[in-house]
Parts: sequence; C-alpha cells; structure tokens
Amino acid sequence: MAKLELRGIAKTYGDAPALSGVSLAVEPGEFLTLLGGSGCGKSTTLRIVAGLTDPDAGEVLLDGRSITDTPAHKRGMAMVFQSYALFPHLTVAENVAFGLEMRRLPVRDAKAKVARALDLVALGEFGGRYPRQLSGGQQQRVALARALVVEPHVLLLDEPLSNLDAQLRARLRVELRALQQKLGVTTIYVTHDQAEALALSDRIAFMAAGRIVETGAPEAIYRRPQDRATAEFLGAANLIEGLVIEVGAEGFAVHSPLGRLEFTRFEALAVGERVEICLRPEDILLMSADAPDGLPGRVRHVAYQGAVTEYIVDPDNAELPLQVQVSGPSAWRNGDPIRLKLPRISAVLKLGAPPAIAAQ
Amino acid sequence: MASFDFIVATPRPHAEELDRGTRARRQRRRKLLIDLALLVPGAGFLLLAMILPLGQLILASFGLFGLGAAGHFTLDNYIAVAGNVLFTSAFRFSLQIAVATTLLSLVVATATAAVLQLDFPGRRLVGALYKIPLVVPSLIAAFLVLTMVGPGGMVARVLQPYGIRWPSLLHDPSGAGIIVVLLWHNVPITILIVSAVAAAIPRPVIDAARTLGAGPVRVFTRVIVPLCSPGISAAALLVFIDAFGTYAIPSLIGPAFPRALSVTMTSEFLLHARWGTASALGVAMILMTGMVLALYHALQARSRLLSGAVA
Repeated sequence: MAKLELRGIAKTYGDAPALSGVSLAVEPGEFLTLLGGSGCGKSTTLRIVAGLTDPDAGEVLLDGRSITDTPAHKRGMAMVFQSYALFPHLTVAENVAFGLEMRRLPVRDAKAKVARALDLVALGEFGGRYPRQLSGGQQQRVALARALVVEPHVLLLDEPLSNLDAQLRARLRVELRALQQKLGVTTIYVTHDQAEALALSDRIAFMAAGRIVETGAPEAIYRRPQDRATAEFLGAANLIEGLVIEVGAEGFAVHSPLGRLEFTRFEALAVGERVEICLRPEDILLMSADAPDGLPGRVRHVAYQGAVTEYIVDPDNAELPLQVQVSGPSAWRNGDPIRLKLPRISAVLKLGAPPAIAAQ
Repeated sequence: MASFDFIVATPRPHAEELDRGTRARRQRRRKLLIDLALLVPGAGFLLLAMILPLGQLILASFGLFGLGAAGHFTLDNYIAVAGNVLFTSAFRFSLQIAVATTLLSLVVATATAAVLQLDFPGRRLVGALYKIPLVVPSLIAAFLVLTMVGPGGMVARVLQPYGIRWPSLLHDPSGAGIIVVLLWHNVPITILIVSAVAAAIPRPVIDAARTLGAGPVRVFTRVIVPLCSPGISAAALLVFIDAFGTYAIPSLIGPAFPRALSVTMTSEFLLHARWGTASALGVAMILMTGMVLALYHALQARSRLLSGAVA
C-alpha cells in the first residue's frame, strides 16, 4: 500500500492546455476515481502517474518521494487499459507472468503467483489459452490478474469496463471492488461513467477542462456538489435560480421563479446572495392534484423505464420544466394536473462564487 | 381401363424427358466452353509466362527438349554442376551474400522501424531520407560504390595522404562490396514493411509492457519484435530472393572468383552456350528460393495461429 500525491501538475499539447494545476492525494488503500467527460484530462493525469507521459510542470510523489523523473518501468505500478492490451503472442499464463519475468523472479515462484492470480479472477483453467480465444470480459480479467500479480504500489485503471456490454460491466464492477478491498491496493480509476464512479469509489475527483473541479465521497459529491458542472455531470439535476431572502438558525428561504422556497441550512448564507438550488429528480415527490399542499403543475412527458418512471412536469407558475423520477410504474399520464412536493434538503450552488467551469 | 391408361400415358413423359436430357447436356457443354473461354486470359498467361518456360527449363536440365535438339534423359548436367568447383562455389557465394544481406537488413531495419515509432525531433526527416534508395536503381548504387569506396575512389584518395590503406570492397572474394550495395537497396524496403507492421501494434500493448517493468530494450525484444514477425518474415523473403538472384551488382563489382550464381549461369549460356548446365543451375536456384518460400509460409501459419486478433 502506498500513498500517491500529485502537486501542481500541468501539461500542454501544442497550444491546448490538457492539464493545469492538478493536485491530488490518494491515501494508501484508497479507491479514487477520476471522473469527467472526454478531453477533461483524466486519462492524461493517469498516464502522468504511470510515467507514460511527462508533465510540463509539477511533481508526482510516491510515499513522499518524488518519482517525477522515474521512467515508467521503474515505478512499480501496473495499468489496465480499455482495450485490454494483452500480449497477443503470449498465452494467458505468459501474459500474467510478464511483469514477474521483468522483475527476474525465479520461474518456480512466478508459476505459483501466476496460478494464484488467475484463480483470483476465476480463470484458473485458462492459463494455456491465447488472448484471442477469450471473450472480452475474460480478457479484461486476465489484464487485471497481470496487473495485480506484480503487487503494484498503485493500480491504474483506464476505463477498463467501457468495452464490455452492460450486464458484464455491472458484474465486473462488483468483482473489481471486492478484489480491490480484499487486496487493499491503492487504486486510481478513470471513467466517464458516473454510475461506475459512484458504485466503485471511496472518493471521486471530478475533472473538467484540465482541472479537478472538486473531490468528495460518492454520496457527498452526488447529493451536495459544490459546482454546477459536477451537479450536472453526476446525474439529472433541476437547477433553480433564487435570491436568499431569509436566513434563520434552522434554514433559509429563497425567492425563485417557483415562488418562496424553504430549505434546511447547511452552508453559510447571507440575505441577498444569489444562489442556485440543485434538486435531484428522485427527491421530488408527485402528489395528486387534490392534495392539500404542494406546487401545482401539469405532466408534460412520461417515460416508463421499468424500475423507475421519469416525468417532466411544468409548474403552473413558471417556465421551468422539472425532471421528476418516481419508482415503479406510472400513475399519471401526459396532461394530468398534479402537485409537486420539493425536498427540504438541497444542494446550494453559489452564483457569486468564482465562475463554474463548463462541462465539455 | 386403368392398364390402358398406363400404356398410353407413359411414352409421352418419357420422350419429353429424353428431350430435356439432351437439351441439358447441350447447355452444360456450352457452359463448359464459356468457362474455358473465361479461363484463357488468366490461365493462358500462367501457361505461357510461367509453366511453359519453367517446364522447358526443368526438362532442359535433364537433357530433354533442348533448344534445337531432341535429347535423351540424363543426369549429366547435375553431375557436372555438383562436381565443378566453379558452380558449387558460385552457389555457396550467392547463398552467403543472400543470408548476410537478409540478416543485416533485418537487424538494421527492425531497430530503425522501432525507433521510428517513437516521437523524436527530426523523425520526419529520417522517415523521408531512408526512402531515397527506394527510387535509385541498384545499378546506380553499384556505380556509387565504385566511385566512392573503390580502390581509386574518393574515400581511398582522401585517406591515402595519411598513409591509411582503404580495404578494397570491390572484387572482394568475401562479397562485402556486393553486400553493401544490396543493403543500401534492401534496408529501406525492409524498414518500410516492418514499420507498417510495427505501426499496427496497439499503443496500449506497449504501454502495458512498460508499466509492468519492461525497459526500452525488453519492450523491443519481448513485444515489438515478436509482434512484427509477420512483417519481418515477409521482408526476409523478399530480400533473400532479391539478393540470391542478384545479377547486375555482382557482375559489376563482384570478384573474378567466386562468382555469383546468376553471373555464372549467364556466362554458361551466353559465352559457352551450355544450355543444359545453365538450366540445371537455374533449377537449383529455384529450389533454393522455393525452400525459403516454404519456410516463410510455415512461419506465417505459426504467427497467424498465435496472433490472429490483435485487439
């Protein structure tokens, strides 16, 4: 287990800055995900950690020692790629043994380790096969075994599940997390899939336009994002602009297009501040039109998705369509009058704060 | 009633069937003729340009159907070839040149191809420069060697005042001069083929090797070279056949003895009009390149088995 740290990493390709001022600390045994859209710099960051790309500025530290100038093959890391990247001319067992052979481990010890690693990914029987004889999911498990067998200081995963179909992806997600926790290896995972990031990570670092926008535990970053780009990337978000008109000990009230809204207070707010309230679709409740309270509105669109039903609802008092998600089948149809109940707790994005960085 | 019906009814379909049978046969014959006509351009070319001359060569080497003379079957030509040091040394000399050229081309070209995969300043310049010999005929390259590194050549003249004796690469019994010219021509071809294959190696495969602890040398020997093997064997085949049969260069700058197989063969029929021995030499030459071709196919089959799908 090792601690990895990035300090002020910058990288420019031609005229386009790929990364600027990226600083990050990954604790020993932690599973950290770099999440972001394509071109946000997450893969470049991972390659800089691996030593496959040189940063223009900044430092990479492993357990407090700078490895910025250490070549990739001496960093003691291992990387898993989206395209599996197995050696096509070597058998599965030879693939897994590659890193051990590079470390000049005696053949007998290497054999035992390879067998154990293949058992770990449930491919013990497949050692003699060639990569092309395996399915995509099996190939990626071989790649994982090949990376884990060298007991890397840091395990690097670059969109490892993106080439697999949805069912397999979900299954491998569970396997990967279990394996990582069992071995306690410090892990950096790169993905553009927010569901994957939320399900796997101890901590998520959300990146956009070559910067880390914010980091946090999955629930914190989903429920209480500090930045609009994060809020929108991590899932559907209803963003309601408002002016703080009242701040009390328990909560605060805003004046918004939907009228006066009251919320429980978390952050320091002052009367007169311009804010954006972020409500997740699953936090809004739908009630029948004859309910005693709630915001009156009308259903504009219904999309049944099996486990959940998604609605778009137009409130009567504003041009501000709201996304609402309710579990189970649909109880209302297009055009039905309805009442909305907004949650008491919300994320508050301050509009006075430094301008949010636009997502890609 | 029933039996009467039977008798009257049967001849008609029988006659129709007969008629249909002959028509079908005629149609089949016409189709066969069309098929044959369609085969003429391709098969006819093969027959005229390959099978007839090759067959004539083989038969002539056994003393049959010699030009202008009806002969009888004999192994004399082969016995003469095997027993004459002029011919055996020619065979050994050509083989030596071909093997040396092939091996040296592969070493130089594979290393260059691997380096060309990297990004370094001047990469495009190197990439353009190495292709120059491709457009210069090897005969001109031979003249280049003649004027540059020959006994009275520029290099020798520049070195002479300092008392340094320049080794003669010309008419040198080791074939060094010939090999230099052949390399000059074949290295670029080999680089071209091997880099095309090297460029197809997925970047992540090399990155994976690097993160797993392989330095530049072991990335080269353990990943790049094995994955380039289809290109390497194809290039080796082309270089070997070219070098083994090369004529212009050894006839221009080769030694008086031993002489290359192609040179020996030419003088056999041009100077001595000994078509029989010339044919036997030709057959030996074809057998040699044929063996290399067979080896190539065996290697290709093996590498296809191993790396069918590079993900």
